[in-house]
Amino acid sequence: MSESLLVVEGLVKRFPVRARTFHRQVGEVKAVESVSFDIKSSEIFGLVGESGSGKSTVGKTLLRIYKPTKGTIQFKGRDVTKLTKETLRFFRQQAQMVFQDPKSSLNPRRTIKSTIEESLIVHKVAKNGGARKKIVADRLAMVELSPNYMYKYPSMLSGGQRQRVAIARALALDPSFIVLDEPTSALDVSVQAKVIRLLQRLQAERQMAYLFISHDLSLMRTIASRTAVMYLGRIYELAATEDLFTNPLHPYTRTLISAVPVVSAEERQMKPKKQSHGGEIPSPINPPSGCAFHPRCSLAKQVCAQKLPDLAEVMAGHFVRCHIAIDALSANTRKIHLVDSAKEARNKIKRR
Amino acid sequence: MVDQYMLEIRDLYVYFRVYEGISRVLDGVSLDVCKGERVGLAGETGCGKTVTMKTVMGALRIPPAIIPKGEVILDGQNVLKMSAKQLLQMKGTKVSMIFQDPMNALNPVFAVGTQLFDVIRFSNRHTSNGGKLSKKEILNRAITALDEVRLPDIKRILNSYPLELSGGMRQRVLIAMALVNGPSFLIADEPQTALDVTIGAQILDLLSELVRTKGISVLLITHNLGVIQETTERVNIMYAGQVAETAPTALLFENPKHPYSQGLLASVPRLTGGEIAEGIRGMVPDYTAVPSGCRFHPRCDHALPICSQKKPPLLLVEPDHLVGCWLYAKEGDAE
Repeated sequence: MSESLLVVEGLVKRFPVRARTFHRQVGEVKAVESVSFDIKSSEIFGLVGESGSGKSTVGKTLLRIYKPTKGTIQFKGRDVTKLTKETLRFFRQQAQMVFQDPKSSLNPRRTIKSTIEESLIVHKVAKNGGARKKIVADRLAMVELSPNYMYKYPSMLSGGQRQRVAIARALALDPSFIVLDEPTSALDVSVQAKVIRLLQRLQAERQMAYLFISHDLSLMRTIASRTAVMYLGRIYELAATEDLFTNPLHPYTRTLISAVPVVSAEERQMKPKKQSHGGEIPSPINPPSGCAFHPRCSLAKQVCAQKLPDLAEVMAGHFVRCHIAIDALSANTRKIHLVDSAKEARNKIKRR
Repeated sequence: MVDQYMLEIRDLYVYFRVYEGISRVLDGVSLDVCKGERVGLAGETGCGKTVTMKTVMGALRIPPAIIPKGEVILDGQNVLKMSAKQLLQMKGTKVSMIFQDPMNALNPVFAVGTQLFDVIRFSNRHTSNGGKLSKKEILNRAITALDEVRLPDIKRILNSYPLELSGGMRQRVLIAMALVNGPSFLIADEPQTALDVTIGAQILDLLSELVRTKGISVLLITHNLGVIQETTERVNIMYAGQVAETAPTALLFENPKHPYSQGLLASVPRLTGGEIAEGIRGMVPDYTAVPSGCRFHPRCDHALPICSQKKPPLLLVEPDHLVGCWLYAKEGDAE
């Protein structure tokens, strides 16, 4: 249970920005800047952030859809970044992905069966058509669709059913890890509730680990066991979900939670005060100096613009990257453990 | 009594002629917005929110749309009986809209300023005093409007194209456009869905503040119940072209009566955590073959025999709280 399935260390992903003439490189989009975390087997790990925070890039880089610029990704003890074409095939069986919009992630000209069975053919899992058909029917049953759907096309299904098919495709090879990139943001709430229940049930039954990427904080609260908050390519707070929501330490996390529109009085009561005076997420081509949130932060001091704070473990399992939160906590308790270098922080996450 | 309402929709039916037959989309929708009130219209995809809104704006194409019955009275005038010219006049002066996706609502090939000037000129052409505005006057109005929505560096924004602005800034420009002519009624169609949470909250705060200070009545259309809860005074829950429930927002969220509202609210993930409900079984019906009686009855766990036979009227369950459900009928209501 506590064993790490996936350990990410110092992950960096930059995309070149090229000039229109001669494709000369004129800059870089720093999508992910030194992200470290681990995912335990059969854990739902949440990644929240606004658009442009780099959360989807992290998900795609973990699966080697993008090649990381720097950093290592260890999956079951093997470094995924160094995998060759052949060894990558093993990894791809183990790790799958479900995308945001099932309308565009399913091929409209393929039947449901041919969509789900493709990975079985590529990985030579089932020898003949009959065996494949059996697996497809089995996977459809897992997502609560009848085998009749096999010969339908995506356009004949509703949004919720399409997303079920996308989940069935991810399950085809019996993976141990799935990246879910906003799997329900294109769905209505009542349909979302059903898909989330399905994902929770599958995870519990099959002991899979999820990386759940979303911008919906209330949803994260419901589904994830640990949550990391990303802003401009870096993790600014990481804690057990319960901790993160009841005791958010970073001003950005507080601002995010306070901005969620809620339906009940209890929720309104637990909302922290926002600690931002507005503004928008800056460009990842030219991020602000120091703490990237300082131009929007209402607590910002001089040091925030100059020095990037470390991701420090201020309470057991609760990491935060903020000068002010760290100072306040160290003055109060003196117990906090400041991690000096990024390297030590990484080792620490690994050990836990 | 009559002029207390900004918008009154009375028993509105809207059908569409489609290949499969007749698509019966709105089935007796009744809804009011009082003057200065902010009213929410909530419901899931395909429940008829947009058709309702288009009918109010006189933007439905007839045919394929058919309006067999019903009245839409906006500030004392029946929209359904207006001539094209009257409609234009209404849109120029009284009613404005804010759309969901600011990128699609703005024209990408014209500068923001050009589009804002157009809106001002259009309105001026349709007001009774109708004289031509000077360029300087138009510019002044545009600057005031952009200043109100707290956009910095207005001169630059007037000359920039929509793609040069961020999503939040575009939505601010749209709000400025909607409010520049001093409308008395505003329809906001999912104004925050295309934006990030923090930006969406900023936009909603700004919008609430502006409409409150200007005394504008608002119909906010959204599927996000949290947004309804935080910005409106009254809410109408719609399901499959019927209004299921209407009540003051706080009352409805505390004590939903209609099985659909209950199911919907239970499906919303909470910030306080906890399991979410199983959702609502089944799917929104096909409008060419809608269930008889209450359109929710095939998905309802509490359905009674009468539910499939007769459409429930809106019943008063407590002061100011109307529910379209037979469960709350007293004897004699069925007649």
